[in-house]
Amino acid sequence: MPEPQPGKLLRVHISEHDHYNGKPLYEAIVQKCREMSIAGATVFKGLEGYGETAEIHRSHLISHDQPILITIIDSEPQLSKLIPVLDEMLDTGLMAMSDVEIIRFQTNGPEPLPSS
Amino acid sequence: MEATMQSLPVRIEFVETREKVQELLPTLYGMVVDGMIDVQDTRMMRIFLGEAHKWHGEPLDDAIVKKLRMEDMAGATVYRGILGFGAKRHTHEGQSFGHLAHDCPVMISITDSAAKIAEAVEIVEGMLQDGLIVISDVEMIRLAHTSPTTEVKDARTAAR
Repeated sequence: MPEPQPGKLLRVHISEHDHYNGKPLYEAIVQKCREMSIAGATVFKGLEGYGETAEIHRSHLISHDQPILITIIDSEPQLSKLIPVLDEMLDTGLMAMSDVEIIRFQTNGPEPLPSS
Repeated sequence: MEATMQSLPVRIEFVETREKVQELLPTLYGMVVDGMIDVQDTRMMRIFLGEAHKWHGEPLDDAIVKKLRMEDMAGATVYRGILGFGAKRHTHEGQSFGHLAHDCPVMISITDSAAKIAEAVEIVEGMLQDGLIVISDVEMIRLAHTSPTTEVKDARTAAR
Protein backbone atom coordinates (compact mmCIF):
# COMPACT_ATOMS: atom_id res chain seq x y z
CA MET A 1 0.00 0.00 0.00
CA PRO A 2 1.37 3.41 -0.96
CA GLU A 3 2.12 5.56 2.07
CA PRO A 4 0.14 8.78 2.46
CA GLN A 5 2.26 11.87 1.87
CA PRO A 6 1.47 15.33 3.15
CA GLY A 7 0.45 17.68 0.37
CA LYS A 8 -1.79 20.54 -0.60
CA LEU A 9 -5.00 20.83 -2.53
CA LEU A 10 -5.55 24.07 -4.40
CA ARG A 11 -8.98 25.02 -5.67
CA VAL A 12 -9.25 27.72 -8.29
CA HIS A 13 -12.68 29.22 -8.87
CA ILE A 14 -13.11 31.01 -12.17
CA SER A 15 -15.72 31.49 -14.84
CA GLU A 16 -16.21 29.57 -18.07
CA HIS A 17 -15.84 32.65 -20.21
CA ASP A 18 -12.56 33.79 -18.63
CA HIS A 19 -9.89 33.71 -21.31
CA TYR A 20 -6.14 33.81 -21.36
CA ASN A 21 -4.23 34.50 -24.59
CA GLY A 22 -7.30 33.67 -26.64
CA LYS A 23 -8.13 30.33 -25.12
CA PRO A 24 -10.30 29.32 -22.18
CA LEU A 25 -8.52 30.15 -18.93
CA TYR A 26 -9.15 26.68 -17.50
CA GLU A 27 -7.40 25.09 -20.47
CA ALA A 28 -4.49 27.48 -20.08
CA ILE A 29 -4.26 26.64 -16.36
CA VAL A 30 -4.29 22.88 -16.95
CA GLN A 31 -1.63 23.29 -19.62
CA LYS A 32 0.49 25.37 -17.26
CA CYS A 33 0.12 22.70 -14.56
CA ARG A 34 1.35 20.05 -16.99
CA GLU A 35 4.29 22.19 -18.03
CA MET A 36 5.24 22.59 -14.38
CA SER A 37 4.86 18.83 -13.79
CA ILE A 38 2.13 19.25 -11.20
CA ALA A 39 0.84 15.87 -9.95
CA GLY A 40 -2.77 16.35 -11.02
CA ALA A 41 -5.41 18.85 -12.03
CA THR A 42 -9.10 18.38 -12.72
CA VAL A 43 -11.58 20.89 -14.11
CA PHE A 44 -15.22 20.78 -12.99
CA LYS A 45 -18.08 22.80 -14.36
CA GLY A 46 -20.61 24.04 -11.83
CA LEU A 47 -24.29 24.67 -12.45
CA GLU A 48 -24.54 28.09 -10.92
CA GLY A 49 -22.48 30.39 -8.74
CA TYR A 50 -21.27 33.87 -8.03
CA GLY A 51 -17.98 35.37 -6.97
CA GLU A 52 -15.89 38.49 -6.76
CA THR A 53 -18.06 40.61 -9.03
CA ALA A 54 -21.31 39.31 -7.48
CA GLU A 55 -22.45 38.52 -10.97
CA ILE A 56 -24.40 35.26 -11.24
CA HIS A 57 -22.67 32.73 -13.47
CA ARG A 58 -24.98 30.28 -15.14
CA SER A 59 -25.82 28.81 -18.49
CA HIS A 60 -27.99 30.85 -20.82
CA LEU A 61 -29.46 29.87 -24.15
CA ILE A 62 -26.94 31.78 -26.16
CA SER A 63 -24.02 32.28 -23.84
CA HIS A 64 -22.25 29.80 -21.62
CA ASP A 65 -20.96 31.31 -18.45
CA GLN A 66 -20.98 28.61 -15.85
CA PRO A 67 -18.65 28.58 -12.85
CA ILE A 68 -15.48 26.53 -13.22
CA LEU A 69 -13.60 24.84 -10.41
CA ILE A 70 -10.08 23.55 -10.95
CA THR A 71 -8.73 21.19 -8.31
CA ILE A 72 -4.94 20.96 -8.28
CA ILE A 73 -2.96 18.58 -6.10
CA ASP A 74 0.73 18.41 -5.29
CA SER A 75 3.32 18.94 -2.58
CA GLU A 76 3.47 22.31 -0.85
CA PRO A 77 6.73 23.46 -2.57
CA GLN A 78 5.31 22.62 -6.01
CA LEU A 79 2.09 24.55 -5.37
CA SER A 80 4.02 27.48 -3.92
CA LYS A 81 5.76 27.75 -7.29
CA LEU A 82 2.47 27.45 -9.17
CA ILE A 83 0.44 30.01 -7.22
CA PRO A 84 2.33 33.16 -8.36
CA VAL A 85 2.07 31.92 -11.96
CA LEU A 86 -1.70 31.40 -11.65
CA ASP A 87 -2.02 34.75 -9.91
CA GLU A 88 -0.63 36.37 -13.08
CA MET A 89 -3.13 34.49 -15.25
CA LEU A 90 -6.21 35.17 -13.15
CA ASP A 91 -8.09 38.39 -13.64
CA THR A 92 -10.94 37.86 -11.24
CA GLY A 93 -11.30 34.62 -9.39
CA LEU A 94 -10.44 32.93 -6.17
CA MET A 95 -7.85 30.44 -5.01
CA ALA A 96 -8.21 28.39 -1.83
CA MET A 97 -5.66 25.96 -0.48
CA SER A 98 -6.03 23.23 2.13
CA ASP A 99 -3.86 20.59 3.77
CA VAL A 100 -4.34 17.04 2.53
CA GLU A 101 -2.80 13.62 2.65
CA ILE A 102 -2.07 12.14 -0.75
CA ILE A 103 -2.11 8.47 -1.68
CA ARG A 104 -1.01 7.82 -5.24
CA PHE A 105 -1.65 4.73 -7.33
CA GLN A 106 -0.01 3.69 -10.53
CA THR A 107 0.26 0.47 -12.41
CA ASN A 108 1.78 1.30 -15.76
CA GLY A 109 4.61 3.67 -16.47
CA PRO A 110 5.10 4.88 -12.91
CA GLU A 111 6.39 8.37 -12.59
CA PRO A 112 7.56 9.64 -9.21
CA LEU A 113 5.66 12.45 -7.55
CA PRO A 114 7.47 15.53 -8.79
CA SER A 115 9.70 16.72 -6.01
CA SER A 116 10.38 20.29 -5.13
CA MET B 1 -25.81 -13.85 34.71
CA GLU B 2 -26.37 -10.52 36.34
CA ALA B 3 -22.63 -9.96 36.60
CA THR B 4 -22.20 -10.60 32.86
CA MET B 5 -24.92 -8.12 32.02
CA GLN B 6 -23.41 -5.46 34.21
CA SER B 7 -20.04 -5.73 32.54
CA LEU B 8 -21.33 -5.29 28.98
CA PRO B 9 -19.38 -2.57 27.24
CA VAL B 10 -21.28 0.56 26.42
CA ARG B 11 -20.32 2.99 23.68
CA ILE B 12 -22.02 6.31 23.17
CA GLU B 13 -21.37 8.14 19.92
CA PHE B 14 -22.40 11.58 18.84
CA VAL B 15 -21.62 13.98 16.05
CA GLU B 16 -21.46 17.72 16.59
CA THR B 17 -19.44 20.76 15.61
CA ARG B 18 -15.97 21.19 17.07
CA GLU B 19 -17.13 24.05 19.34
CA LYS B 20 -20.00 22.04 20.80
CA VAL B 21 -17.73 19.04 21.39
CA GLN B 22 -15.14 21.23 23.14
CA GLU B 23 -17.89 22.73 25.26
CA LEU B 24 -19.19 19.33 26.30
CA LEU B 25 -15.86 17.64 26.96
CA PRO B 26 -15.21 18.97 30.51
CA THR B 27 -18.66 17.73 31.59
CA LEU B 28 -17.99 14.32 30.07
CA TYR B 29 -14.56 14.09 31.69
CA GLY B 30 -16.28 14.80 35.02
CA MET B 31 -18.93 12.15 34.45
CA VAL B 32 -16.84 9.31 33.03
CA VAL B 33 -14.74 8.02 35.90
CA ASP B 34 -13.84 4.67 34.41
CA GLY B 35 -13.82 4.54 30.65
CA MET B 36 -12.49 6.14 27.51
CA ILE B 37 -13.47 9.29 25.69
CA ASP B 38 -12.42 9.38 22.08
CA VAL B 39 -12.81 12.50 19.97
CA GLN B 40 -12.80 11.83 16.26
CA ASP B 41 -12.58 14.32 13.52
CA THR B 42 -14.60 14.17 10.39
CA ARG B 43 -12.53 13.62 7.29
CA MET B 44 -13.15 13.98 3.61
CA MET B 45 -11.73 11.66 1.03
CA ARG B 46 -11.54 12.61 -2.62
CA ILE B 47 -10.81 9.91 -5.17
CA PHE B 48 -9.61 10.98 -8.61
CA LEU B 49 -9.98 8.50 -11.45
CA GLY B 50 -10.92 8.29 -15.11
CA GLU B 51 -14.43 7.70 -16.37
CA ALA B 52 -13.17 4.86 -18.58
CA HIS B 53 -11.77 2.87 -15.65
CA LYS B 54 -13.55 -0.43 -15.10
CA TRP B 55 -13.99 -2.82 -12.18
CA HIS B 56 -15.11 -6.32 -13.20
CA GLY B 57 -16.77 -4.90 -16.28
CA GLU B 58 -18.67 -2.08 -14.61
CA PRO B 59 -17.62 1.56 -14.35
CA LEU B 60 -15.15 1.90 -11.48
CA ASP B 61 -16.89 4.96 -10.01
CA ASP B 62 -20.20 3.05 -9.82
CA ALA B 63 -18.45 0.06 -8.27
CA ILE B 64 -16.75 2.22 -5.63
CA VAL B 65 -19.96 3.99 -4.67
CA LYS B 66 -21.85 0.67 -4.41
CA LYS B 67 -19.12 -0.84 -2.29
CA LEU B 68 -18.96 2.18 0.04
CA ARG B 69 -22.73 2.10 0.39
CA MET B 70 -22.54 -1.53 1.45
CA GLU B 71 -20.02 -0.48 4.07
CA ASP B 72 -22.48 2.10 5.37
CA MET B 73 -20.45 5.22 4.66
CA ALA B 74 -22.32 8.44 5.41
CA GLY B 75 -22.36 9.57 1.79
CA ALA B 76 -20.54 9.72 -1.50
CA THR B 77 -20.88 12.06 -4.45
CA VAL B 78 -19.47 11.51 -7.93
CA TYR B 79 -18.45 14.54 -9.98
CA ARG B 80 -17.55 14.45 -13.63
CA GLY B 81 -14.90 16.91 -14.70
CA ILE B 82 -14.51 18.40 -18.14
CA LEU B 83 -10.72 18.32 -18.39
CA GLY B 84 -7.83 17.07 -16.36
CA PHE B 85 -4.73 14.93 -15.97
CA GLY B 86 -3.33 12.84 -13.18
CA ALA B 87 -1.52 9.62 -12.38
CA LYS B 88 -0.66 8.59 -15.92
CA ARG B 89 -0.19 12.18 -17.04
CA HIS B 90 -2.46 11.76 -20.05
CA THR B 91 -5.17 14.31 -20.45
CA HIS B 92 -8.72 13.18 -19.77
CA GLU B 93 -10.94 15.11 -22.04
CA GLY B 94 -14.51 14.61 -23.09
CA GLN B 95 -15.33 14.95 -26.76
CA SER B 96 -16.96 18.23 -27.56
CA PHE B 97 -20.38 16.56 -27.93
CA GLY B 98 -21.07 16.57 -24.19
CA HIS B 99 -22.92 13.29 -23.69
CA LEU B 100 -20.67 11.36 -26.07
CA ALA B 101 -17.69 12.06 -23.87
CA HIS B 102 -16.30 8.95 -22.27
CA ASP B 103 -12.96 9.62 -20.77
CA CYS B 104 -13.66 12.55 -18.55
CA PRO B 105 -11.91 12.82 -15.21
CA VAL B 106 -14.11 11.73 -12.32
CA MET B 107 -13.91 12.68 -8.66
CA ILE B 108 -15.70 10.87 -5.86
CA SER B 109 -16.05 12.74 -2.60
CA ILE B 110 -16.82 10.92 0.65
CA THR B 111 -17.26 12.47 4.08
CA ASP B 112 -17.37 10.46 7.30
CA SER B 113 -15.60 9.97 10.63
CA ALA B 114 -11.83 9.49 10.58
CA ALA B 115 -12.27 5.78 11.37
CA LYS B 116 -14.76 5.21 8.58
CA ILE B 117 -12.58 7.10 6.12
CA ALA B 118 -9.63 4.88 7.09
CA GLU B 119 -11.83 1.86 6.28
CA ALA B 120 -12.86 3.46 2.99
CA VAL B 121 -9.22 4.00 2.04
CA GLU B 122 -8.55 0.28 2.56
CA ILE B 123 -11.51 -0.64 0.36
CA VAL B 124 -10.74 1.79 -2.42
CA GLU B 125 -7.07 0.83 -2.42
CA GLY B 126 -8.05 -2.66 -3.48
CA MET B 127 -10.05 -1.34 -6.41
CA LEU B 128 -8.00 1.57 -7.70
CA GLN B 129 -5.12 0.95 -10.07
CA ASP B 130 -4.35 4.36 -11.44
CA GLY B 131 -5.50 7.34 -9.55
CA LEU B 132 -5.17 9.48 -6.54
CA ILE B 133 -6.76 9.49 -3.10
CA VAL B 134 -6.65 12.76 -1.21
CA ILE B 135 -7.72 13.04 2.41
CA SER B 136 -8.41 16.18 4.40
CA ASP B 137 -9.90 17.20 7.73
CA VAL B 138 -13.31 18.81 7.56
CA GLU B 139 -15.89 19.95 10.03
CA MET B 140 -19.21 18.18 9.95
CA ILE B 141 -21.88 20.77 10.48
CA ARG B 142 -24.93 18.65 10.07
CA LEU B 143 -25.41 14.94 9.79
CA ALA B 144 -28.91 14.31 8.49
CA HIS B 145 -30.40 10.88 8.74
CA THR B 146 -32.86 9.47 6.27
CA SER B 147 -36.53 8.81 6.85
CA PRO B 148 -38.70 10.89 9.22
CA THR B 149 -41.60 11.76 6.96
CA THR B 150 -42.15 14.91 8.99
CA GLU B 151 -38.79 16.23 7.82
CA VAL B 152 -39.74 15.69 4.20
CA LYS B 153 -42.99 17.49 4.82
CA ASP B 154 -41.16 20.34 6.51
CA ALA B 155 -38.78 20.62 3.59
CA ARG B 156 -41.67 20.82 1.18
CA THR B 157 -43.35 23.48 3.22
CA ALA B 158 -40.11 25.43 3.34
CA ALA B 159 -39.71 25.14 -0.43
CA ARG B 160 -43.02 26.87 -1.04
